[in-house]
Amino acid sequence: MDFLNPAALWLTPLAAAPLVLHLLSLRRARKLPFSDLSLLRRAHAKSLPAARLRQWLILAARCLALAALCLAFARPVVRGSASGEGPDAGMDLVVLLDTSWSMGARERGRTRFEAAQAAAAALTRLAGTAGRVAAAGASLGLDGPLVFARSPEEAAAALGRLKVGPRGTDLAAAAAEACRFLSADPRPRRRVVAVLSDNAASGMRGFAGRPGACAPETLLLGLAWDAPPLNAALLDAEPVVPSAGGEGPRLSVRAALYGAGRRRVALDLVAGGRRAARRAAELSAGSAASYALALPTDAGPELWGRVELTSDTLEADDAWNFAMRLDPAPRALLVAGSPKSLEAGGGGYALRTLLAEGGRLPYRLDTADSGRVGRLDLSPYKVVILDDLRALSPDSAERLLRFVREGGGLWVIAPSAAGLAGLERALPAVLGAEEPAAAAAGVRPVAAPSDGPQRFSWDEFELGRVALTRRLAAVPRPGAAVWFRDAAGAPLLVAADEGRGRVLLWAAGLSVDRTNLSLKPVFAAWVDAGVRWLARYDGRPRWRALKVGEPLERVWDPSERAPSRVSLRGPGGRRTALLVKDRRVVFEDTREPGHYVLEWDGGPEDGARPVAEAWAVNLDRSGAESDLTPAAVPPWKALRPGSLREDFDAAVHGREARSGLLAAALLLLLVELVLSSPPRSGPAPAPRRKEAVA
Amino acid sequence: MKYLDPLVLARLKTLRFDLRRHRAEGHLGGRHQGSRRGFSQEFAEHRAYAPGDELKRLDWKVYARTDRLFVKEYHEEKSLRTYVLVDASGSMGYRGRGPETKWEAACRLAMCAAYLITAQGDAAGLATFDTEPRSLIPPRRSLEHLELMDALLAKTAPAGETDLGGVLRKVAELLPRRSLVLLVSDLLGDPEKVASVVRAFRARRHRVYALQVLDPEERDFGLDGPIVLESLEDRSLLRVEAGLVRASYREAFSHQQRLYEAAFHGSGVRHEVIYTDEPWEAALTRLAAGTGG
Repeated sequence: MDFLNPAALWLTPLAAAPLVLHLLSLRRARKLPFSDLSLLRRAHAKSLPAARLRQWLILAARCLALAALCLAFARPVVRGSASGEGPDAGMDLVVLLDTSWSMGARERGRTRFEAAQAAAAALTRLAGTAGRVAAAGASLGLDGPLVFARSPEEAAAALGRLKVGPRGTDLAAAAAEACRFLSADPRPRRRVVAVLSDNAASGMRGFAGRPGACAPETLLLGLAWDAPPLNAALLDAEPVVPSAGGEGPRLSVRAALYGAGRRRVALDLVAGGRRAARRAAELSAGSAASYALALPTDAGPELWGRVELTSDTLEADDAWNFAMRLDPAPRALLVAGSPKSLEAGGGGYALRTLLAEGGRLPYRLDTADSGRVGRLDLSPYKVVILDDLRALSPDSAERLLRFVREGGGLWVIAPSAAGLAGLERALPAVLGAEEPAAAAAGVRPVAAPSDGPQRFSWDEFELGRVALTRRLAAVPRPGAAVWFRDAAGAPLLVAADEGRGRVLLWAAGLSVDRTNLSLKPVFAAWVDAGVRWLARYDGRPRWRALKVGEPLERVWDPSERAPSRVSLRGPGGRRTALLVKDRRVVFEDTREPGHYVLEWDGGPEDGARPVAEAWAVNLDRSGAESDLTPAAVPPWKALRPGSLREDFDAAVHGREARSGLLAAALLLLLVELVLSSPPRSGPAPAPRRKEAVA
Repeated sequence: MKYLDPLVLARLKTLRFDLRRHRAEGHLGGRHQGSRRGFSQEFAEHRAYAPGDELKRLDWKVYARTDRLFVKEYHEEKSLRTYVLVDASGSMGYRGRGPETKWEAACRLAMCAAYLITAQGDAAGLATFDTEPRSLIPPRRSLEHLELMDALLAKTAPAGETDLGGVLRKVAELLPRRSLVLLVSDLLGDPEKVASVVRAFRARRHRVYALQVLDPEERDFGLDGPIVLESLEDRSLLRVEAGLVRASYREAFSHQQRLYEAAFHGSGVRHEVIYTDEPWEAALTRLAAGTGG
């Protein structure tokens, strides 16, 4: 036990004063005459034991009360947990200021980070003249190296320069590093690590796994906060794939409420600088709920914006940035080589029925005869389907070849090789003579893309019932892939890349006199797989979302024209020029949440129009930073911001026992008062007074 | 006289002891009815004549009416003998918070009572005692006799121990029957013994008045701090913490007083407690008021 005012200990002998006075008074007893002592002797003998006990109890209470008062003046303290040889040992203090984004929670007009920053600056001045202070920010570990400052002011200045960052919290790692830093000095000194955070349980999970991160003699201190208010947060968002039925694209947003209770909030979807959708939601604490917001359909393929929640305590988690590319359904051009193609039973008829009229597949189909191919503008089309082509002019062939090489998709349905002159170079297989098909019915997929098991599998269809009467002999070119073969193993559907485009060859007709494929359920899947592959269309929005700190990477497909340089506009409007290397550009500095927009000039085919693609960068919600619920048992001793110095002194130097001693003295004086009060007994007998008349 | 100065005598003019109903024995004639037939104005009864009776006592009117001889008898009237017994033990010399010692208060009360008794024609005597009867002045009806009593009290100083029970028993043997006994004492002794002696007085047809003279300090024990008390009777010492024994002392004192009250009430003895801090007239007034019963 230490004493803050040890000089007052000289008063302690005063505690024996009542005893001395008692003994002196015994020696100075007055001698008085009294009439008769017989009554008094009996009373004295009767009350002697109790009176003597009571007398000594009173004396003891007086002595103890005086001793407690003297000790209270000496201000004793019970030693704290920090190490050190004595009260004069120097102190090594490490102040870690939590810079995770949850510290942006605002209470009573200022953020928790600002409050913690002020407390941290105050703590630097409490190390004493023999103390050393090191300060650093802490989030996922230490934000910077720990070095003892030359003065408390320097440490306070370093703390003042810290800002809330986009990082999560792992205070255990930071505390462990601080403890290792302190233990590097073997001298016996008080070692204190003050971790000034919001005490959220999410940031302290690491302490459970590292019980021995800090040596026992190192005192860990933290801040105490009032109970946090309710906090609503947006956890994530993802696009909902539009269905073929016509329902527009939507954004599914997941929101949660932390704390206890319920709250009504409004969800706003802001895109293109205007509010595109709004809906109300009632959040319940402890569970997350998903809400769908309709995306604007007239904003073009590139769409970015943000979802905003009614602002509350922690504003950082009340918005979610999104960016996506919504590719439009590809347009296809059916070139019918003969009038019979578009008649009932013809292949063109089956395709037109499926794509244009049935609405079962999300593609738009235009139809043209082969004579108009050379005059048509093919740029709006992603896929050109040639059916039953009997003849093709060189210009048309050249135009089709150029269409393919510039990225288009060509699907050749060839009941005969007669009409494909000029296109042979682009075909994935060398066609030969027409041959009867295998006697057995059926086709079998070899390498046909099924677009994953989530959509369908070819096994779902009765491919063995697909019958063929005749087919062309096809010898796949090197690099070509055979997707389907007939029952005898002859190639039927062969695919290959050509230039930046793709070519698909069906070495048979689609008319019903050649195959019943168009009458089978597999036909829709067969056409869908072909068109998707040719148009490079997967039907899903291209979601461009990153967490803060993740690098932004853009890779141009071979089918795209890659620019040589791009400009990147960050959330603050700052522009950065980036060079494209190997059709790839990477931007590392995504520390700030918001939209990062890549801009470059389009190619001649785009009319040199500027092209912009956005990436949405959001704070990492996986660490549950939005949950401000404090840890039930924090791993440190808590300092209240209102009594920082007192709590620090009590924790480091010990708890002052003055109030306890004063209370004990008061109690003892009360006991003395009770004991020294006259015992309950009848009053002295009053003289009888009778007035008599003589 | 020391205790009957003119001021005291002037205050006594308004007081009177009503002792007429007390019967008396003795040879002194007086105004009190005796227990025997004798000569007086108070007719007692008729009795048939017997040879030897004085003829002058025959009631001739009765003879005229009845032709039978009857003698008229009268009550004998005697003077009441009063003995004032004053305790002269050492404890009576105590003076605590009162304006005078218990002895002085007791002497004044005794002399006043003797004066009032003598003034109405009865005889008053005085006896002092401690462990033994010290001196005795027989009852006389003259006022000059009071000077002897006053002188005796004036030259007596309280001292020594007391054995109240024993000494009263001896005094009782000295007194003739049917006397009025006025006991003036602090009654600090064994209440049982005193009560038994008082019962013995009553058995000899004495009328007893007990005047207990006390100092208020003996009642309250208002002393403080550590003290050494010296007994005025045997000079023994007792060291006590006054505050610690006060409650027990008061309790014992109350108990003793209750014993006296019970004993005297059962014996038909008038008991008056007189504290030295109260006016002596008041105490005497209470005593005078009780003499009629």
